[in-house]
Amino acid sequence: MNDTNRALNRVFIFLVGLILLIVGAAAGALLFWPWWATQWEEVGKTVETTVTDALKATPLQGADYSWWFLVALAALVVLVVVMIVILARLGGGGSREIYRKPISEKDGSSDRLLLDTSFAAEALKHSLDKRTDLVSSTVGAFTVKRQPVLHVGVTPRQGVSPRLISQETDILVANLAQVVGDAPATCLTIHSGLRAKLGRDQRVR
Amino acid sequence: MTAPYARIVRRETHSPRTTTTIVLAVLIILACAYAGTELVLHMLGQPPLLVAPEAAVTWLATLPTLQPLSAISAGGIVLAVIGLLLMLHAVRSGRLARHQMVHDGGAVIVDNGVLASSIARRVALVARVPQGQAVVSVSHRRAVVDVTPTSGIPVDESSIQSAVDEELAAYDLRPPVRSTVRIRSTGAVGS
Repeated sequence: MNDTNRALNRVFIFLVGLILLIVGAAAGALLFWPWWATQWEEVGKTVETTVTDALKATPLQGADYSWWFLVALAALVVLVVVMIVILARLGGGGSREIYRKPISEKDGSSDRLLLDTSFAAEALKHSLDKRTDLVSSTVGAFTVKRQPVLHVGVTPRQGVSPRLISQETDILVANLAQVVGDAPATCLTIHSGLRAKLGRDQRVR
Repeated sequence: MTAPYARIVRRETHSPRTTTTIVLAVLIILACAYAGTELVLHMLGQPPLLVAPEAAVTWLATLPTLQPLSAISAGGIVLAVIGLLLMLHAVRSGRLARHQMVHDGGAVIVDNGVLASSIARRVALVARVPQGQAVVSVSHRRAVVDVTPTSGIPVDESSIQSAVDEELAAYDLRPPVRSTVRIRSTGAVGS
């Protein structure tokens, strides 16, 4: 539940796949398509001479290599920077606060209430840890469409009804709401964890 | 102020394709680093690590005349297949093995494994068989319940079916899941 730009991920994967497909198909067709192979050879010869001539014709002052190498190096650096930008865009979207709102208008206070994520997380996790039907739990908050959403992730023990878990978690969130006055938007994810999978109890209880 | 639950559910039940993106970006960065190293080595007049830039151009230009051509073609085909798989990976929905549970208080997302183990527990209780003899697998639209009766003790298929349906109705999943109950004809030796 983070802010990863999924469309960008997919466009990027698609483009890389497309380039691989084109290059691979071009090389793969050499054996089966003689016309294509001779075309490649002819064009290859001209390209090769053009490149060698261009490299000879463009020497860098005071060095024995062409400045085209610097251009190529710069292109590589640009490509690396683009990749780093793509990687840096992944994730994010965590919210440090659950919500912000005026404290009860009745007392005329102008202070605003800010429910910090860590406070809600501590409070909820404390209650969740006491539950014997859960193996583990995580609490966090994310911003979805500029709105903070409380995220509760739990891993129940084998065979526990998810409906029961969602009802009990509701009670906990309602308790939190009673403390702070308003129920935050919540998202509950119930996971089948590794321990729940491995710790299979065969006995009838 | 209504919470953007539709978006949350959509994001929680579909893959973000992050792993593939990271792997591809890192591979491209490594390839660029290698090519850059070769360029710099060439510019400094040092011997290349593997192949000098000009030799690489020559190799590419004379690719059809190199031997064995079948190996080059095979490599190309492998590359093309990888590319095709990546394109499919980008286009396919990437649905995760999860369901939305309709719930008043917010968005609830449940792993299929949790649903299966919960149904299995209920079935084992109703059929009065040890837990390992009720096996449930939940997929996108189906829950398949396999019950192996203990040898000599018959099980009531209709009560199992109604128990499963009752569980599924209680979960109220999106997309809805239909159930199939199968009773094995060969029983397990009593445990």
